Amino acid sequence: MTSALVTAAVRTPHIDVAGLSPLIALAVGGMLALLVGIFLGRSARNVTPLISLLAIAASIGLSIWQFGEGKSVVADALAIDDLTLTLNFVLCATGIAAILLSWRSRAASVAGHPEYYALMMLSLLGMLVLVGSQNLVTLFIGFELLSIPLYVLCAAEFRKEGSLESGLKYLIVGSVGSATLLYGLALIYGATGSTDFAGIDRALAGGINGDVLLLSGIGLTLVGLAFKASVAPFHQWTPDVYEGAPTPVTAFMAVATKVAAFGVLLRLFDTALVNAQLDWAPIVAALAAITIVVGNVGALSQVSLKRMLAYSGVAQAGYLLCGLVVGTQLGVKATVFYLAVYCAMNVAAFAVVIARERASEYGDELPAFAGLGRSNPLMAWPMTIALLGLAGIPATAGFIGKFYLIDALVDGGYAWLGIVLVVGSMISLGYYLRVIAAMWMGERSGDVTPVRTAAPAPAGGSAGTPPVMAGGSQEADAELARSSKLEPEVVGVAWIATAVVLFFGIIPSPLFELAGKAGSVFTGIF
Amino acid sequence: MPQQTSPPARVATRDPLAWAVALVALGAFAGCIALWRTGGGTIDVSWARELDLRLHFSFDGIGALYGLLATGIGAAVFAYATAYVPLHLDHQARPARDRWRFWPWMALFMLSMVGLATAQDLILLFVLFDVTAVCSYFLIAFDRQERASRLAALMALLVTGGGAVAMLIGAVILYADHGTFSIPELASLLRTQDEAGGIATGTTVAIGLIAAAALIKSAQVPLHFWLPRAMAAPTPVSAYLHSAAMVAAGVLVIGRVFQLVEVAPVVQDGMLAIGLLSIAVGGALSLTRDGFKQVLAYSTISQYGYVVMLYGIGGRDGATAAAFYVVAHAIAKSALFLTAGTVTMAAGCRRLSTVGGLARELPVLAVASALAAATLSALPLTIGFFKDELFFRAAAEHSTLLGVVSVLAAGLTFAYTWRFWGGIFLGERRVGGAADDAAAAAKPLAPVPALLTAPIAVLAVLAVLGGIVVGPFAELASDAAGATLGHDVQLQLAYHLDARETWMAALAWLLGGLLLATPKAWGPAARALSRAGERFGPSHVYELSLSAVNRWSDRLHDVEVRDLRSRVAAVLLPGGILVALGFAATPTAGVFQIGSIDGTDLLVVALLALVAIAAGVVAFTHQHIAIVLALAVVGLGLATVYALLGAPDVALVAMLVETVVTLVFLAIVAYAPRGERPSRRELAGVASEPQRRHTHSRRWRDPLIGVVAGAAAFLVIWGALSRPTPAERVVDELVRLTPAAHGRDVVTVILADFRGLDTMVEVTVIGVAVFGVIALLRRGRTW
Repeated sequence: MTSALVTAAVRTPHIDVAGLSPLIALAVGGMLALLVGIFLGRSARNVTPLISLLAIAASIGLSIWQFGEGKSVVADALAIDDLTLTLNFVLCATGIAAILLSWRSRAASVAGHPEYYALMMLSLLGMLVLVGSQNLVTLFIGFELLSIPLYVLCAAEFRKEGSLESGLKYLIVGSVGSATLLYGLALIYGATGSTDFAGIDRALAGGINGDVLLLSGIGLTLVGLAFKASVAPFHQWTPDVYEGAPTPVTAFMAVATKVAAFGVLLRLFDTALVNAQLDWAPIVAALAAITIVVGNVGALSQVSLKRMLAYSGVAQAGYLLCGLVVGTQLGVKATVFYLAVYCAMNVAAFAVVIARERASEYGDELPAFAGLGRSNPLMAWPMTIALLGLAGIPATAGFIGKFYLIDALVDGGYAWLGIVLVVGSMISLGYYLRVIAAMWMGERSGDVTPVRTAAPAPAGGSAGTPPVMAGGSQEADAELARSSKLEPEVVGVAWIATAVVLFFGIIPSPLFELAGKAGSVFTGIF
Repeated sequence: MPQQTSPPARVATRDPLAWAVALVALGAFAGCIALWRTGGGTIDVSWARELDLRLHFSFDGIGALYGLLATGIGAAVFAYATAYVPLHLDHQARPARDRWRFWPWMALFMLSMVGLATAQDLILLFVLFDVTAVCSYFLIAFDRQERASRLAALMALLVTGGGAVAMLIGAVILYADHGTFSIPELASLLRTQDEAGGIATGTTVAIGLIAAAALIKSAQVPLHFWLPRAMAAPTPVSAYLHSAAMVAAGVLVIGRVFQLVEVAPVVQDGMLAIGLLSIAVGGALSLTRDGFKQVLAYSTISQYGYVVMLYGIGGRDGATAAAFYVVAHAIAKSALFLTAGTVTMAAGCRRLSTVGGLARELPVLAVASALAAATLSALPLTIGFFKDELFFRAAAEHSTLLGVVSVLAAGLTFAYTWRFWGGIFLGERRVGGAADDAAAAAKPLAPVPALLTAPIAVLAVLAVLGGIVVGPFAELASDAAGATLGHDVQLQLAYHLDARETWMAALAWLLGGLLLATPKAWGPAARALSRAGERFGPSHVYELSLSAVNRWSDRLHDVEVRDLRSRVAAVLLPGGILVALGFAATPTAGVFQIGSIDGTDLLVVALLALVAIAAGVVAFTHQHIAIVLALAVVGLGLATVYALLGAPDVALVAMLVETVVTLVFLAIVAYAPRGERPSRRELAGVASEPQRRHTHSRRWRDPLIGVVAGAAAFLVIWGALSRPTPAERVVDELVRLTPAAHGRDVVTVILADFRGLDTMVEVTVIGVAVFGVIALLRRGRTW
């Protein structure tokens, strides 16, 4: 053949198996779940989640082993450093929670247990790749690997119109997001001549000098990632998709996707684009402020808990963006801290939603929670603490996390954003308290057949009796036998997450240390 | 719904939970006394080092005063509540286990009050502020079946929580400027700075925010309206939270941060004004109210107005008088609140217009509460006398005008206090007002458990003892003032018949008596003020803003559900705006180069204009066939542009694809069923109605979105094309190698040679996909 190709000697690439081991564990787990599931009949129901759990546990173990090594693998395309591994702990914890919550769900059995858990594992792998990526190509691969299984998972309960609609909607809007991201990545590559984060950083060493190509690239990339992190105004898919998707999938999506999206946002903006910080920070700050306002105001009138948590997730994304805006190590630490805390709070809340959905005819709507404090305090307490935490009430980790973010904002000269954050939390009390008030002060109504009215969009007062909206839950519909018997794994998940929220609310130091290590990997910023 | 028959009140008073909490309060009271006498102590541990948060508590003078109040009044109120709560639950036919919604919160409240009294750190103050707010939320909403209770609880939480937020913001600003949250450290830093030439405006704002939080908590005008509403709570809650604990927390914080306030004279003057306003408004409204607890609530607003005004006056006199005033007021006011509860329990009514003449039937209660009323109205031989003496002294020392105002204020206090007591205990039994009260008035009095009277008597005796042996109370107040001011203060109190303050007091009693005797003279004016307040006042603003926020939320929801969800434009439009903003914010002068247009370019421009028009048609028209045809024009027009720009191969492919796609679209349109199947939500009537209404705006919105997104795309492409071409060494190398690879053009060589493996895999994938599609079309049969 050609001389050029002949002279190119075959080099065996060096593969750092140890560094890649947390990823390999997840990939192997997913494939094993899929393959083993073929040979198992009905026992796949229990065996495949067990395999997945073991794989995740292995990934956690391997992450602990690799912690502190600070490796850069696959030709520097993937960083297995403390940030990646810390976020992997969080991701794996949410993965474990999602698998436990899925265990007895309809979604898993309708979609087929092996496929369901395999998809979840692969999505988890995609998230891990995403948070570790330090190359535009790996970034996009991780992004797609995380997204595509989620499109399928949203539609897992494909006999339900809502689930199918949710999956399709997520697919269509998600594809637009991916396309935008890809366009942006291409432009960044075009402007800097490198797909490597370090290379981009070098190319930008002299500032961006009004390079429109780069600027458009950053903007479009930000849009693509903001879409995945449900940052307003790219959040519109969130409430619909969250509401329609099977609740365990919603829980997984709500927490894990956010970790992945913010992980990569931090790495991309704080390493590759850090020299352009003066250009992107005002835009990110504006996005954060819009997100906080839109999320909190939008959540006020929601009756479906899943929709409410979706909007609340939007608002929380706004809080998380605050840590990115400042472009300091303190900001990274605060974001990582808040991500971990946010996951714990949301997992606890979603666990309770799942339990109620399986027990109450109202599904995930507010009346299903009325009087829960009396009828089922074991579920009411986690919900109360999780919501108080999300609102940022002291003695919960949510307060410490928000305080850390405010600290970072003040330190970075964005005190006005801190005030927006605080005011946003204040508004958020309005809807979190509504649920708490319903649980502790409302009369139990879960056993009554709901009146399915065709009432227009809820306009209920902040503490009044909310109207019942049509279209309850999927879990509670149809023939599913309803019982108020508690499922131990759901209770366990709810309580462990609650314990985490309380523990780090009172003794935050261990999490601070972890977040501190994660934040210190970015040596280019202060 | 009663789920079980409630046990008789007598048995329930032996409730171990209730007594445990009451005993804890008593024990804590003893502990506080011991700590006070032994000089206190300090706890200072690091909480979160990274955030500079410390758990710094110090049992100093302020800690002693408010700690003793919280535990002492707490013990009395809790003892009262052991009898009250079972009766209350019994009346409402609620199960006895609902007491679990009462006692733990009360205990937590007391604990956080003690913490608040000793906290030395702004963040700790904020945290405990929030904890008390959450406790009060659950306690006010104890009668959870009442909508009014729930709304009142929410209002109290939102208003005082909003105050706490102001405090947090203030604390963060101070931290940003001075690097510490510790109040003593801040005080010394600020004093140094003040002496060096004044403090920064940001610091003044921060101090103002903290003071505002405290004033809101103490229910000062204009954010006082939550307190009367909070009277929906059971009486022990009102007696505790709204006389000695929750509202006292506000002035406690002012006392704690007073050294910061001192360096910001604007804030201090503001406090003076707000205090005066609260005295006047609270007092006047108290005279117009009919409900027992409403009268007392407004009087509380007025009374804390005194304290705030005293801090506004400041200095040694102000600080000591304020501290003393808090003690005297808390003892008297909690006794009066408890009286209101006992009367309601005995006679079943809650309004002044439906009771009267109860002195004959409840003599002990009448005497005890008369002593409390005497304390509040500052009669001699009660501790209250000294509170007014100190108040008069501080006011008269400040200015003559303030002295006059203080006499008027004391007269007002005298009037509303005795109006309350006289209305209940003197005269004849009245019937009237609300229907339920009228029915209750006809019934004989219910027997009153001793525990509903004894705590009031204890408090009354304490008030009188304080009037005779004032030493310990004076010491308590001077210790607190010492902690407030940062240096030791001595306070000696005794009766002086010839002093100026005594004459002022006598004048005030006279004035109060006059006010009491001539209700017709001031009645209309006071009622007009009350009506104006309801109509235009801050509570109205609160309601309006709540409903406005809800309305926005609904509107946002509508817009998103109706217009934006599942729309690609929801991503494109903001994306376009974001990119455009980026362009606008970045200087791009000289980056673009505009060349001249000549030759075939003219044709290209014309074609592009045609494409733009066709795209506009796509956006505007509603007929499917027209859309398909317009899209075809867009595609074919672009294909021609490719041909003209020297890319005939691309043009051919585009032509082919366009033709096929257009035909397929036309076929789809031809075969598609007429009309749309309504979605589930539209069937439910959620989305259909507004959709019709907004057709007009939709007509213009879609083209607008298209224009914005298109403009953004244009900018991006322009930006890309106008960049100077970099030296593309890789491309040159590939072109150079092309002949060596036995190819004639670089594209073929890349596809077949350099990336040959990729191409093979791609071809394989496409082949597999083709087979898959065929298999699907044959419905699973494989040939």
